[in-house]
Amino acid sequence: MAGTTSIEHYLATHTQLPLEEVAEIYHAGAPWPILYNDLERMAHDDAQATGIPVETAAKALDQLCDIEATQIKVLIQEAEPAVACACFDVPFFDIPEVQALRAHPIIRDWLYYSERVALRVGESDVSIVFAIYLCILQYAWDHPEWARGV
Amino acid sequence: MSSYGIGQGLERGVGMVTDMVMRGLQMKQQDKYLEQQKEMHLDRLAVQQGWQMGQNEWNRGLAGLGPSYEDAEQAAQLAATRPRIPSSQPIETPGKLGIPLSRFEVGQPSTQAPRPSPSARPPMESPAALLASPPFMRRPRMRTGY
Repeated sequence: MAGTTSIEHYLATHTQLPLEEVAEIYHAGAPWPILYNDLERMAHDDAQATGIPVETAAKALDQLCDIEATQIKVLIQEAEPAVACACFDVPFFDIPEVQALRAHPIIRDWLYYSERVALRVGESDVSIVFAIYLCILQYAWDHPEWARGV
Repeated sequence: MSSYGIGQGLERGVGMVTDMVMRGLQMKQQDKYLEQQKEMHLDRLAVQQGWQMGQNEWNRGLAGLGPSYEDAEQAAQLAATRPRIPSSQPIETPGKLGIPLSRFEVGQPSTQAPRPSPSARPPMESPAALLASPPFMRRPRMRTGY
């Protein structure tokens, strides 16, 4: 497909979705909010507000990220069996056991943005947009120079 | 290794959620594919059964096995309700060739053809006269050997 970039190929490969569909969703949501960029800025803001060194603020924020990752891990372990048994016609976020994961602050923000992108695209499934958003975050972690330029 | 100094835990969380969502999506796609295959199989089966039914109908007609039970029953009802024509009253409706159909009705008393009177019969020639007639007037013999 003409005009596609490496990020779109990366997303199509990792989501196993058609390249045209991925490209449409990616362009509909661009620029995607990259949380890792916000973390660095938040660490600088915290350091300026409290007068502590930036390294200390970044370390505290990093520990907060670890705590949230542990919370997400527990929620995933609880939802995993239900996701494995769900029928294909039930949307991912309509599974009752996924509701707790959905209510987590970070997931809720990402899902909210995915819902808006899905509305903009049209008939696209929110869970597909959400999966693409997660892949964008992973790509951003592996390619910080790309993420900072978004 | 990412150059981000912070957010490693968050990246792990993203990875875990991604794994689960992807597994869910792939399972959905596989289930959807299987469901589509099942529907296609049922469609093909229905077409095959329909074709087989048509084939049975065709074979029954060709083999001369007779009409179906419904057809036979309807024919019997029609025959039972058909008005009977008394045999004394010949059907004089002409057919296509103008010949009264009553002549061809089985069991109907047909009008007998008038018998020729003996006086109208041509005179019989004597064998001597036949022998005296020219040879080309005689019936040729059946020749065999061809």
